Amino acid sequence: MKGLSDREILESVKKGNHSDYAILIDRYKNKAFSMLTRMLKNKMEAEEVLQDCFLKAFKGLNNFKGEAKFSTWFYKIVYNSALSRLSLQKRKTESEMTSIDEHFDLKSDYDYNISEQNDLSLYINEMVNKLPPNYASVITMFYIESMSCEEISKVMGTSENNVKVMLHRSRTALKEIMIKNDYTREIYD
Amino acid sequence: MIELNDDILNKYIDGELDKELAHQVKIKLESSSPDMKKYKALLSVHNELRRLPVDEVSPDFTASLMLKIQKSLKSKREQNFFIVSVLSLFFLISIGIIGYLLANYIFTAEPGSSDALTQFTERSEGFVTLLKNFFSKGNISIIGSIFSFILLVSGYFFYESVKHSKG
Repeated sequence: MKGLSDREILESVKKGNHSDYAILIDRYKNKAFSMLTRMLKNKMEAEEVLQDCFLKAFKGLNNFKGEAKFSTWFYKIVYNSALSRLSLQKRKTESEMTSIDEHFDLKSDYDYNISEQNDLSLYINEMVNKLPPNYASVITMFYIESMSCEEISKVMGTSENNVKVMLHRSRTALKEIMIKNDYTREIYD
Repeated sequence: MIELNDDILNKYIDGELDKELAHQVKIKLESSSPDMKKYKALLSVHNELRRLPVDEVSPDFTASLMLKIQKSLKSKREQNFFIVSVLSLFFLISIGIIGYLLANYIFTAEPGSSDALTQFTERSEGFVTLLKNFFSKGNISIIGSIFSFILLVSGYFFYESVKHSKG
């Protein structure tokens, strides 16, 4: 059963084999969780939102006509749910959080913990976790979910070019901070 | 000679440059040490991002979620059953009232004219009068109260069941 495609599983679920939905959950839970964790910056909240996303997807299965891939449709739910949660948080705390579309500056924001992390992989991971939600979601969809820029643009409801800009900007920012904090020695050697 | 910036280098890494431009970038990188350093740093970020760890949800995530789904399906069935029950009850009560009125009329009606049309007209008039009496000022408040009470009780239980399913 686990070798079945998403479409076949969905057909089975729609026919009434609700337990098959667990296969889809197992297939997407960790990757979607990675995206939510990096967007919401809170694991507990990410898990809560992820549960809601799977419930929403289950209840809306009849609306899914199969024009797009299930993963694109599902990640759209995940992405929009994360944005809703973020805007709720923003309203609740009335914090001075900058807009998620705003330009960010990793160099000035993330200098404080540079000496704590010696391993480059862990350091990059830490930096990705600190990216603004939109950028973090692009990075996770592109690198963890291996989605194309076109698919990501459908999930985010933006242009493909915009996705590429966000991807490049994130990479450049990470590179800059890496150079600034002397993480490049091991690369050049 | 081409001037290398982050945008071009990013596109070079993603393989988005055309063949000619990609070749120029390659030559420039081979001849310029600072550009090569920049490229290596960017490439290293790209490679590290490809190895980003996947976070894992709690072990009982799927089980608890499936339980929630089963619960929501069950409560949906219960809600449907509840709505059908209430509607059936209303239907039965209405049928009962009409049946009672009809029976009351038929058994109390006196045989009149043998003409079918006249007989029908007389009976219809009698039935309408009976309905008028039934829904007269005195009775209407009682009937209204009964229906309101049933609606109120049904509404309460429906609200509770919806609340329960959402919880």
